[in-house]
Amino acid sequence: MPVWQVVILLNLTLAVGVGFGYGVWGHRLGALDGELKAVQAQVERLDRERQACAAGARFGEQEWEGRGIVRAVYPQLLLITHEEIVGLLSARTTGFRVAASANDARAGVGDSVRFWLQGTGTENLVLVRMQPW
Amino acid sequence: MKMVRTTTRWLALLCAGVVIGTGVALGHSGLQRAEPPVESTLKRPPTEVKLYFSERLEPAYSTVRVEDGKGARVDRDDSHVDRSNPLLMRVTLTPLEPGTYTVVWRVLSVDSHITQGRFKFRIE
Amino acid sequence: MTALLFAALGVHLAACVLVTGAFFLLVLAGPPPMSKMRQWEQRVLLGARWLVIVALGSGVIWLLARTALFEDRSDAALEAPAIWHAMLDTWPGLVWAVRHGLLIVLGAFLFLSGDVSARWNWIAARGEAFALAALALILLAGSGHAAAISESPWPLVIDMVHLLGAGIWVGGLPPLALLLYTASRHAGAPDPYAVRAMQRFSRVALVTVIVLAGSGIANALLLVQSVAGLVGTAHGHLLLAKLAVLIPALLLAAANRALLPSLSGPTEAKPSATAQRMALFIAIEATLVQVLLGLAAAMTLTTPATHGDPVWPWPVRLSVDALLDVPVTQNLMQMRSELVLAGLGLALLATALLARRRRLLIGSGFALVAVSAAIGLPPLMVEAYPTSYARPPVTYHAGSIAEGWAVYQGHCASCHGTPTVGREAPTGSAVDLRAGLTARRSAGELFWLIAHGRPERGMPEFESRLGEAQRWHVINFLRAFGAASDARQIGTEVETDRAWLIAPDFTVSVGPLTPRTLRDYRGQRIVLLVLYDLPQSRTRMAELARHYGALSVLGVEVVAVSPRTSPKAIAELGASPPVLFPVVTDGNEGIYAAYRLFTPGAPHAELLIDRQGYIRAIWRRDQAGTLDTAAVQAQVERLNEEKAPPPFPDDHVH
Repeated sequence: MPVWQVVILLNLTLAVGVGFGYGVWGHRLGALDGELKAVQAQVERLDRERQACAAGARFGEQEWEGRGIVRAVYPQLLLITHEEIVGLLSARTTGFRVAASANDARAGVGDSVRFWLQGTGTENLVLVRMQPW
Repeated sequence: MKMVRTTTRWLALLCAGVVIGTGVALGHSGLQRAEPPVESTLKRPPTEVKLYFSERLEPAYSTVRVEDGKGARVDRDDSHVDRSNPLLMRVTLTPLEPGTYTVVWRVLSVDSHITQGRFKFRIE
Repeated sequence: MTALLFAALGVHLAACVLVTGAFFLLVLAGPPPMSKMRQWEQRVLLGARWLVIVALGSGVIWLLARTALFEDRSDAALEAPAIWHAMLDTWPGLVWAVRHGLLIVLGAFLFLSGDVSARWNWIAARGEAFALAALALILLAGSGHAAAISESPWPLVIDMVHLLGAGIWVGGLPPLALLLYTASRHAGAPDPYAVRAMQRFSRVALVTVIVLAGSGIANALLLVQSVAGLVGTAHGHLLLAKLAVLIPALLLAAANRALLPSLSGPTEAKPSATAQRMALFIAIEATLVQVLLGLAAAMTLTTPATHGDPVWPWPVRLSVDALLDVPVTQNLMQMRSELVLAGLGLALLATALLARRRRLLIGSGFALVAVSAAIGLPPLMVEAYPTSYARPPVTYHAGSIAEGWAVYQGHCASCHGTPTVGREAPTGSAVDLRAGLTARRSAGELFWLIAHGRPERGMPEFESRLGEAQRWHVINFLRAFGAASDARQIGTEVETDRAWLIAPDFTVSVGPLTPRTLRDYRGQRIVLLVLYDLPQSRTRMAELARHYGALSVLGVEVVAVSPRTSPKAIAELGASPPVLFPVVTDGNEGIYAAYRLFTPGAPHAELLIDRQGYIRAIWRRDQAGTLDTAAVQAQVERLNEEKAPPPFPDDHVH
């Protein structure tokens, strides 16, 4: 084979090998990373459902734990500045409806608390338990 | 001779260009800043130490550890480069008592350069 | 191990550069027509094969030495798992693997013989070898300083161009010397092939050297950045050494270029002698630039000057700020226009009189410059110390300022007086530390003076009494104190496009929640820092709580700090209206002490800090009228309307 054809073949092999290798490897890594994150999220969700079930929640409901500082107290609502609630909300100040069962465990403005929320998502969360943090 | 003179003039310009540069901008040594800050005194113990560097870090060879006054480790041995910020190293801490603590770091940047150092912080 | 690393890297770099240059020269010269020139080509090819082996071997040693350095133990250099880890789990290791893969392909390509008698085959073979060698060389930039320092791809591209230029020019010189020597070994005129190659190389080398100069200056701006970095760090010294070696090399190149017409001129009596002389010059030039490669390898292994702590080598430095202290210079600066006109007139007169006497003109010019420097430079010179350009390890932080104030009170106030912002010079002061001279001293100079004192002025040394950290805390306090004196100029209205007062960083700790820092808000939110005290601030705090939503929408975060640390700070503000913004419950004393410098005497103060971290407006309760959220909102809107936000301030004082 003439040398110039060898050169072209060599360059094509290098380009295709490197390009495909990078593309396939990078794509596979990205796909694996996505799968891992999805599985992790699923495991966390199942764990929350299990905890909620143990606490007497309805089927399909999950339970989340949060920590924060009480900023305002109303009969049916607590405003809490909280840290990230994993799988639910980033760190912010949120108003949570208080379940009747949680009315006994009240806190005052400025108190640091651990609290548990039940629901299927952000639209129907209810604070069910609370204790000092 | 004329070529040598011309070259000499261009050399002088080159040297001037390199030497004068931009003049006043100063960069910083490897560690840019830390949380808790270097040599700070805190009332409440931190739960984490964060170190911000000026060069991108290699996770495989970058470590941080925190020691108490007796040299015992008080971190959770989970130092890592932040996934969203390759200039940031973090390590979480066990609950700390009042005292003086030393943060010891050794990091590899992507240009194969190793930098290391230490600083203290106090909890009252 | 560092010495081994340097030696291996130096040899590897030299081998890669020489292989690249050899094949570039072959491609430039073209297929050799005569048997003697073909012999030269074979010798170059043989040399290139050995150089590829040397490059591979030294590359492996470089990897082993680097593994030992990464792992921080010498025996790791011989452990396969450690070597794999260093190669496959780090970016520099991956770059190494790709580069050496290319070198292996190049080696195989060179050792496999093929028929290159046809022109296209010859061009393909030599061109491919050059491409592989050049790619292996320029990929070195991928694990260089430029790749680590900047997110932008341009420093990397400039580094690659610099490496390619070095490969072409530095690497092409040895085979060129050999070519000229081979072509001139008989008494007659040198082979036209050699003459043509020399002429082409000369043209390419001129362009390459200009590109090398440009990319070198760009690299210097990125990695060195200042005169202090150039003369005060190992990296800077190596760069100066490179320049020192480059000068004679370029002069030799210029001399060769001047001899070029003599190679083929019809009137030249002994062109072969000229060619041999040129070959000798090129060989010397090639030797000098190999030294350049060694210096470049050493620069790769040193910390870039921009990240090192420069040690200033001289007792003085130039400071434009010093102009403010020299009345004569002040007057001269005011006479700018008169000076320019006078200078132009002199120049015209000199040109008219001396136009035909160029040497006298040049000599007069030099004399004028020397006299001007002798008169003009001394007023610009200020005392300097080895730490003049040292970078503080302690950030500009409220806690540091407060600690510095405490140290100052304990060790400095007895002579320099208790500092009071906004009043006349403190009593009993040795030096008024608010004076411009203190502000114009660099942080490193203040550090030196505190450590060593000024015995001639009665100031003792404090190196034995204060730790390094305490001295830096005092310097942070002095900087804040100086800034606070000027902060009186900042009122209740934002001055558009005028941001200068840096807000000291502090930790925003709210109960047991994960703390943030003021710096975390940079680039995201404006901060309204409220220094409050109960009960006088209660009404204002309630008003802020009611308007917090509106301020939030405008991009403002309110951070409230009381004078004393209290875990009950939020509860003390009351439940109605609910206070939803961060109320600091820890570290209050330090924050309060630092920011009170900017608002002395006011029982309640609010500071508007922009998204870049500068204090832009200050409301002090002792001013006429009550604090008004509408007024705050108006200033927030002015900040939001700023088109060109200022650059982020440094985390350290200078």
